[in-house]
Amino acid sequence: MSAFKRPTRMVRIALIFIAALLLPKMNMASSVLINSTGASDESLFLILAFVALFQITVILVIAGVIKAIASNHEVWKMRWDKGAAVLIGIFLLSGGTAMAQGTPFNEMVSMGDTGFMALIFVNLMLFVTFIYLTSKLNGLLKMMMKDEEGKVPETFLDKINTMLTDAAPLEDEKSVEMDHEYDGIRELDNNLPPWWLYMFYACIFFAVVYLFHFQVSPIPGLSDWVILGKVEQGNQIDQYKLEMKEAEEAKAAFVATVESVVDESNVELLTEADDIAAGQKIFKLYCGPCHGENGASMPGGVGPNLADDYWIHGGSVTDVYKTIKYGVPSKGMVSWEAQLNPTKIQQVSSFIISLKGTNPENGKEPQGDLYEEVAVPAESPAEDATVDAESTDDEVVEEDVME
Amino acid sequence: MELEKFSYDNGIVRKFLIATAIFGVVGMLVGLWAACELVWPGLGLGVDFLSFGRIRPLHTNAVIFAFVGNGIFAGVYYSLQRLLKTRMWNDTLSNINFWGWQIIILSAVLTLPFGYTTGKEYAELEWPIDIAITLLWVVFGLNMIMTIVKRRERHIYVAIWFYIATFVTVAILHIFNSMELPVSFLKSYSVYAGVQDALVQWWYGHNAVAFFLTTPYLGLMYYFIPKAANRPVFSYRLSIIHFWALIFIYIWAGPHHLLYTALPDWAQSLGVAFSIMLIAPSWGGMLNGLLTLRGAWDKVRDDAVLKFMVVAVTCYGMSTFEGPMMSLKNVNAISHFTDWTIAHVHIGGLGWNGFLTFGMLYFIVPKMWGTKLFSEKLANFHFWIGTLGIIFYAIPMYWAGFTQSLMWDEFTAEGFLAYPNFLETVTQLAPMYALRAFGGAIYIVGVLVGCYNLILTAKHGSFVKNEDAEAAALEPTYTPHKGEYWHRALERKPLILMVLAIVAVSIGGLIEIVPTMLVKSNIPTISSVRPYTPLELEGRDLYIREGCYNCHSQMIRPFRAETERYGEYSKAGEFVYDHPFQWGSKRTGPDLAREGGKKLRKPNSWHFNHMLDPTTMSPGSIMPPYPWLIEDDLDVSLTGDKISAMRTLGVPYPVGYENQALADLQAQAQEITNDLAASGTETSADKEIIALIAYLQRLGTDIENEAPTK
Repeated sequence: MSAFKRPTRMVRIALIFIAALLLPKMNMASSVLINSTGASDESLFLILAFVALFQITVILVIAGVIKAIASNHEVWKMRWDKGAAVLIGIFLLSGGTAMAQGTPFNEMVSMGDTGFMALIFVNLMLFVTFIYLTSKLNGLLKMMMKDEEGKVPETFLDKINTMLTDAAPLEDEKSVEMDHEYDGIRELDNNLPPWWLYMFYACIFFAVVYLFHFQVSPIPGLSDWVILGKVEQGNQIDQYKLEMKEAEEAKAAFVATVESVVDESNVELLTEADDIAAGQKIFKLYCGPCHGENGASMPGGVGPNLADDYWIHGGSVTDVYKTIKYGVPSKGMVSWEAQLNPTKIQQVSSFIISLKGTNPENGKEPQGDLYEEVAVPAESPAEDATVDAESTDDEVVEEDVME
Repeated sequence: MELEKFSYDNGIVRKFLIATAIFGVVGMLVGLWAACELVWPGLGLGVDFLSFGRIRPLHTNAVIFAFVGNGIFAGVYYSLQRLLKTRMWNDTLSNINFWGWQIIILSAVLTLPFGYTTGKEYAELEWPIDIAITLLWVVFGLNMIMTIVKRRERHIYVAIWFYIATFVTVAILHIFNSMELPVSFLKSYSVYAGVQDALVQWWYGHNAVAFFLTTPYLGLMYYFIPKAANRPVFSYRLSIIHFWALIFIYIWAGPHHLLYTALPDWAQSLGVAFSIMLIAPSWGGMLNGLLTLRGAWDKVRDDAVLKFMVVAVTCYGMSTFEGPMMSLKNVNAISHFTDWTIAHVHIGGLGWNGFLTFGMLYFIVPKMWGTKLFSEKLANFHFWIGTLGIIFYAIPMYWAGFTQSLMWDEFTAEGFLAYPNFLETVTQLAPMYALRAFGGAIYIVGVLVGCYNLILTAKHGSFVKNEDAEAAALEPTYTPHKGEYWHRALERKPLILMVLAIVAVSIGGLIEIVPTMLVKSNIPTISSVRPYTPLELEGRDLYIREGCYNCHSQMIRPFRAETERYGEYSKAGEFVYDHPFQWGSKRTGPDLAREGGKKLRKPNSWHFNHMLDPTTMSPGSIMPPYPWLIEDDLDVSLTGDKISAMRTLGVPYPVGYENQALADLQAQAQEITNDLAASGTETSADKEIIALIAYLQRLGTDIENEAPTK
């Protein structure tokens, strides 16, 4: 076996360097992904860690075997396994960096997702290494046996291969060769590889089941089968209605666990510094583009000035809350009901009201009416009663959920 | 039997080879530019013809039709002559094929970046170019068929079956998808609208992949792998079965690009079912390629040609498994509209088409120049850096796809979208986009090294323009062997094989498309959906011109995560006046189907500022600025003609409305201009931006006027 041609050493080193630099970046990217989504699962984490350890052990064993064989063998000079050593090095290095992001171990488990993704990544890398080493070992064994017997014997992998493909053995190839050639290209007439053929049948079967399941009638018991996806009802619109119904129920169940829900009937002005600061943050992110970061918009700005004393849709906290929640589609104010939860709308409303009269320079000219504070009327007993009634209902719902 | 002397036309192969290499480099560099624009939006330089929406179609057209297209011709012209033991039928036709194709490519370069586009993905070229393509394709087909007719080989080899299927199917696809009504020399409207247009387009789009990027390359694989490895093809039987199964099944799978859209359910399910069945025929090709290397794997270690081909075939196997998986409705719900699709196509594009092309070039060039490859080392370098390039391209894109999809779909316990601001899901992807550009860049480095290697190889050899060959003429009569395989008869009758191929590829398309066209219940009408006003129509044409569909979909799927974000899911009846449809296939930006609807509606001034500089209204946005829309006057010289054309296509504008259209357009434009002025934005009513705003504000509003009878 001649060592297969490789890029020159400098190029190789450069590539390895680049790879080593970039792999941890990928890990970081993954952690960003996972931190932003999914949840951690300790048992899965432990399993993954175990698999990684197991793979490392196996790899070390194989590497040891290779080294043992190679050390008293000519091939050692061919340096082919140095490539493998370097590969393992990179993988472990990158894996290590990934691990390092989540260390110490306890913290890693609690951090969960970062380490979790890193582990998956390490496992993949190890698996690639494993495959690489196994194929090298296989090649090496073949070569050794050839040295002794003068010809390449069939290895275990070759046997499996023959079994799976049902092909005529190489040395017996003439028996299936066809009596023609095209520009020197000959053709064998080997049997169809059995696994391929059965896969074809299976795919056709699957296709029939799939069509039946989606277009004729959902097959009981298959609905939760992951490949089909959850299908309780045939068409996608019914499916959508079901999804919405379930979401509504889940939402209701959640709302029932919350003590009170802010809405326009009971919203109050917040004055705590924390709330105002939270409101400011939201304002900057969502409202700033149109209304200016200081709320004053600007001449020719998209949204009206919110830092003067004039209001187009009313300046009470209830008015502002409603304007934000429902929007004013005719004037281009977007509804934020689906994007901000009630508390956030309350916070940002309170922040906006706190801007009143700050009148920063270079703001947009006033629009709408001058709003003057009116004394807030004491809450009427009737309203209280409604609120009470609602909370009672909530409790009932909660009990239902508990059952 | 007397041997006849003749020669192979290597000159035409050389021409196509050079074109392949040049357009490979060009097409990929354009792609790299586009990729970098997503990382640094400023790279568009504020120039219209460099903006992402115009550059991306140029990239896709260049790599598919210029790079792979020339690669197909090069490989076919090389292998066909040798497999049939004859010279190409007509050298003039060969040359018309070559120069005609390059002129078509040039015309693409001169139209796409300048906004002349039909707005249908992978079929963006305008109608005169479409006609030229058709004629050119006929020239190619005629030349091929006549060469087959005057062959000196009794039977035609499997590679040629694939070439024949390619020829007939691409012709059918191209003609039917390009049915468009011209309005002017470089403007036309698709004759199909909405759902029908979408179905025809993706029947075409999917099968362009099948019959332009796959079947001709399978043919090339069947020639070059056995040649390079000097091994017999693994299984003739497998060839037959996977060939017929592949071309029959492939054509059905188009609707899997339209899952959960307004396309009728039955068509969607058919698309999925056939996609799954497609796994085996596709893998049949991969297996026949890889198993042909049985007993020659030691050569793969040494031979750059084989290395490229092995990775190419492996990538083919991976993407033809991944594709059907992505076709499953529940997987597609995650993958669709995300970068997952981009990763998927680049495994196929960079791996299968790219690597097979390079393997072929490394094989042909030394042969035709009668020398050895200049440097095996450089070829190996190309191989390794190319492989790394694919990995660095694909993995970040998979990651980006999963990330974005998960972020789109996540809800808080209170029932709110966890990331209600679409932009958050975009800025998250910035590092992935940068890595992807890096992967693409090193892949191109490999290509450049490859070109250098090939040029030096050619320099060291001497080119034989007409390669002498000899073979016996066919005997007038032929007695079949006793007990020969039934398919052998077909291989002696290529025209019958061609007819059968046409039948095989027609069935699926007919069954899916005809009922969608004819059966009313497939597209329930909505009475409140009205034709666009003239200004909106002009705005829509700007939307098409700028290639907005490259990043924005107009198709809200019936998922809670989408209706929460964008509003009511899209209905088939909403698109009946959309010639062409603009559903899009990727959401680099948010869906715009209901941009003007209650939930998303923004003031006119928001749109004005946003188009001038998206980052003012959406800090961190990677959308390019469109200053020219604000500076340029709207061209209304065709407005009347456009209205007439639309009426011809069935849009119910009253007779004679084309004469009133301009007045209506100006009135509506003035209204918007006044509104902008009221909020402090000064512009004039004849600017392009006004029309675009009118269109965007119209999107998704029709359905809100529907009488609430349901």
